Amino acid sequence: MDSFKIFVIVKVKNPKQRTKVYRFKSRSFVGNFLNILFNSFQENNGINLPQAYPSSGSCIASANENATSYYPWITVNAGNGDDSYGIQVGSGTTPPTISDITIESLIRNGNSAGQLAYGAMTTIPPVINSSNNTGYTQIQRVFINQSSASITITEVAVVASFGGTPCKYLIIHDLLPTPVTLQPNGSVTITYQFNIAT
Amino acid sequence: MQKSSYIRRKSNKMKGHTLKVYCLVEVKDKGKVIYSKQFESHSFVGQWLQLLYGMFGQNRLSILNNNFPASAIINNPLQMNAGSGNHNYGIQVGSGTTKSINDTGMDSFIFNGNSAGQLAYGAMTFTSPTINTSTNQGNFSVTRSFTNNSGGSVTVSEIGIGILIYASDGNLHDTFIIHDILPSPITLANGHVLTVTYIFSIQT
Repeated sequence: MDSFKIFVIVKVKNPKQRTKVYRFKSRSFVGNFLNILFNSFQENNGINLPQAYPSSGSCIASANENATSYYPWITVNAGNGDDSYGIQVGSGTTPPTISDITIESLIRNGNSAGQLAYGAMTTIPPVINSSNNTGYTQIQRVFINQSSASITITEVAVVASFGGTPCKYLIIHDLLPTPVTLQPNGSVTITYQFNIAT
Repeated sequence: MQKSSYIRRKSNKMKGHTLKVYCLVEVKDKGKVIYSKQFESHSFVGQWLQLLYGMFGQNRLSILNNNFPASAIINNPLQMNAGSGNHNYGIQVGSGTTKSINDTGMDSFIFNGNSAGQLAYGAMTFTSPTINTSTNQGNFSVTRSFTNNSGGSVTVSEIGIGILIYASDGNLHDTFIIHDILPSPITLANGHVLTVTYIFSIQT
């Protein structure tokens, strides 16, 4: 019984093909996540970490600033077409390392060759099972191939938004167990499921 | 030294774990260690998932003291840096023996103080992250000491972590996220100091 487990669910729909669903265990929180947890716990200002592509440069988030309404902190709710945070997909094949600060080869949002249309992020409320003391919550994004050629996805990642600037840091990076190829008008839904067992 | 060797040993057995939390408990009498126990925490509670949901989607939190309407997060919602004598958040201790995913606090809370049945809560302390790029393993720890100045013995059987959230209702909310029952209760005689360390570990 792990303290905390993450599963990735990949649902692929290609024209004239049966829907395929893959599920695997994410193993790849990266070092940025550990730094963020630590600095959040200790309430440190000046959390200076490199941002994930397509954002660039280092960015300083402060754990003691306030917002007037909703404050972004490990926030992933990117809107339709925004590939700068939330779940990202890519075509890299190098195994993730703890030092990763960005997905290896981001597939950008768009309808041109080699691009995918990024849907809005969805956050799904927790499901708590009191009888067996387990629970999970999910985040999800749909990617549609609106180009005229097939596109292959080999890696997935989660970039989170922090603070008033806001800063966009990579927190999770995974390779898919098998590449997923989307035909024109095909779509893939990536779901990250965060599980606990008390 | 003891802590790092424990994490290294556990990490070697669990390549590619998502996030593991370990607990170290130690008792000192006049500066000398008289008890030490290490185990894996299994006990994020449901409020941790609710908090993740709130952070991920900037969703209102319904878990904050059962307030209605639910409140929005308006600053860092993972604050754990409680000072000396503040038992409202940070690492906490208790004398209860049961836990569940629905827990919103300790089973039987031991309050800060020097009276019978109480312990003096020290300030939270933090050890910066260690990132090992050759093994892709990283960890950091949070620690708190509890001193028995009560004049009698005090038994600790549960530990946990509360965090502080500043919400849009204008209030600070202490929110319970981790709860563990100790493998065996620890009885602290007067003058004994209990130190509890939680270690957060990843392996990419």
